[in-house]
Amino acid sequence: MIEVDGVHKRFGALHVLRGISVKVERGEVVVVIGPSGSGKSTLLRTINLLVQPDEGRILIDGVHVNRRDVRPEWVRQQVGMVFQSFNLFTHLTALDNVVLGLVRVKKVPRENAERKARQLLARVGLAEKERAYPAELSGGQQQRVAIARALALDPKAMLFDEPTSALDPEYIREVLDVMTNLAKDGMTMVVVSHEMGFASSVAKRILFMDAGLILEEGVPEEIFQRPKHERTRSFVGKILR
Amino acid sequence: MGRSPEETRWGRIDIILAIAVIVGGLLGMFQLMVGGRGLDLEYVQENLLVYLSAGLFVNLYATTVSFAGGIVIGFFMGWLRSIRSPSLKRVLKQYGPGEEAVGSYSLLRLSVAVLGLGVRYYARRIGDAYVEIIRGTPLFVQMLFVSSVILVSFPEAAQFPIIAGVIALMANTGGYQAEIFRAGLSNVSTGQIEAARGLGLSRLRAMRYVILPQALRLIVPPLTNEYIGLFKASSLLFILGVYGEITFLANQNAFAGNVFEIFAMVAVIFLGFTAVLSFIVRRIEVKFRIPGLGIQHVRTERCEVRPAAIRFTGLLRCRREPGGGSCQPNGTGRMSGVHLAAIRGIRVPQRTQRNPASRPRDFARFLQRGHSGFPSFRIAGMRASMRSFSRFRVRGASRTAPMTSTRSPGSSARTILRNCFAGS
Repeated sequence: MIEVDGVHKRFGALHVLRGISVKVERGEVVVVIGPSGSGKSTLLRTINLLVQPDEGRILIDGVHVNRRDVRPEWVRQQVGMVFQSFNLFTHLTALDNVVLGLVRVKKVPRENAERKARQLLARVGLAEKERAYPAELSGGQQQRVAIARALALDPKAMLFDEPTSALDPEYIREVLDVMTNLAKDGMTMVVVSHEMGFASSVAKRILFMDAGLILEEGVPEEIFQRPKHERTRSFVGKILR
Repeated sequence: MGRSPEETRWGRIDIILAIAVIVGGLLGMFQLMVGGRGLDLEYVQENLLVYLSAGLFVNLYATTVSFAGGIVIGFFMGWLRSIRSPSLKRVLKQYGPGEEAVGSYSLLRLSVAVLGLGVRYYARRIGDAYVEIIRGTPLFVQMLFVSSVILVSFPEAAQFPIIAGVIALMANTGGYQAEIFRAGLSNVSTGQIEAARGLGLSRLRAMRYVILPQALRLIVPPLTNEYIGLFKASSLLFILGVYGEITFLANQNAFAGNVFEIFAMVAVIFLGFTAVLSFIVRRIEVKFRIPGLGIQHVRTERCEVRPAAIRFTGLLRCRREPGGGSCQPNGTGRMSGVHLAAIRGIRVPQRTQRNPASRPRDFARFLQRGHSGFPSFRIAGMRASMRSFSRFRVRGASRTAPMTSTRSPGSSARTILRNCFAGS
């Protein structure tokens, strides 16, 4: 489904990704953990080409996408993205946030788009908030709208960049519930998150990244209970404590 | 910072003095220019409509047309100025044959990259130069330049000097608006842009549907400012001989001798128009306000009593103690030493308070006797229902008692008023 093959990325002198290769199967949920600055977010961003990889290949559904003749806009429609800081469009209501992509990217007629957007808002439990502006919503509600916005384009996979780390503890649950349901519905997901509960119950695989490399990968029990690598052990020890 | 009553009184005297100077100055001017002959109101009556219709039409028309054109220029120049480009060194490193090169090296790739960099760099520099030239030269000179260029290249345009005038104004306001747009565009957070691009919107669509709607809301106040400035600057059109322009008319008629009347009228017309415009823009701003975006208006509590009525009745009510203390008319034993002293007419030094209470906005205030806080004659006449004027409602005896027991049946009706009066 998603294949990252030997990807390198430099920001000036900073070598952020040093040859990353990952394969994510259809319907699989992969959680990426690692210390800050290890390149987790950059990895997600290269997958939907918000960051162009310097070297290596990105394949989505077998299509090599980081080529000149592939429009990055097309790639981004295939892979939805949810950000740490929600990034809802401040000047639009919750409904319009979801509608925008449908109308302006997919060229769906406005009425159909609104119907679909309402369904999606209902799916994330915010049917009654469609007229609220982002500033009038709590962090958890904003993040759920952001998920609905990303889902609107019927992506083949979803990327989550620390979706709960900007949230107050009381709102984390509701966002994780939405994500868990999404995973149950068979969505392919790559999640950067340090929510251990979510990782061990939903994730099929865990990747541990450090300094631009994937140091270790395995099923949650393996990584959390019997980490092989020294760095993994100390990191997992810190976040489980 | 709070001010002591002493300071406040001096402050008030300052204001009175300032007003006196201004009024005196105006009267002096009036005396100088009109003198004993008296105001020629007949002239004003006769000509007001001419000035209003012809003058305002030409000025308004020229301003609006050039402002609209200026928006287009301003947006693109502002956009150009906010382009960022990597340094040449980095591009050479990335695409050149060196070690740090990314991917395979080819001369074509390198030259395309360098060309792209050059285009971006010069686009930005063009924007910079435009803004600097426009900002750094007088509008007067710009007008003469544009007008001469047009007259030389299209002599038949001499019949319509307003064309040259509008072009000059447009170019001028475009330079200033470029800065306004640049500020607006760069104030939309990168997260918004990233989200828009992540959704699959192209660069242009992200600008159109996400960045611009937000930036425009942010820059409404400075754009209004610019429009008003341009409107006043449009009076310079008279140097090009734009017939019907308001200061052109004024200059023509000034030979008749009624200089004061004419220019006072012109000033009032300008002032009146800009005042109306500010009012309209403010209403529009409030109407299109979006929570969490741009200037947030302070929401005032809804009052049953009209604010003006409150301000007038404020004349009749007891002032709040400037020290921020609460008034407890017949509260037992809650009167401080200062209050008691005030009643007895003794002056007691005021204890300074770090955060004094905000002052109620009255049209007029009672004069204070020293630091005594309340004028004693009002304290004598105060009723228990005025307890609610205190800054801290739950002060005194009622603080220890549960709130419910202190509530009388009518208290909920009073709370509405209480909030209004408390004003804090």
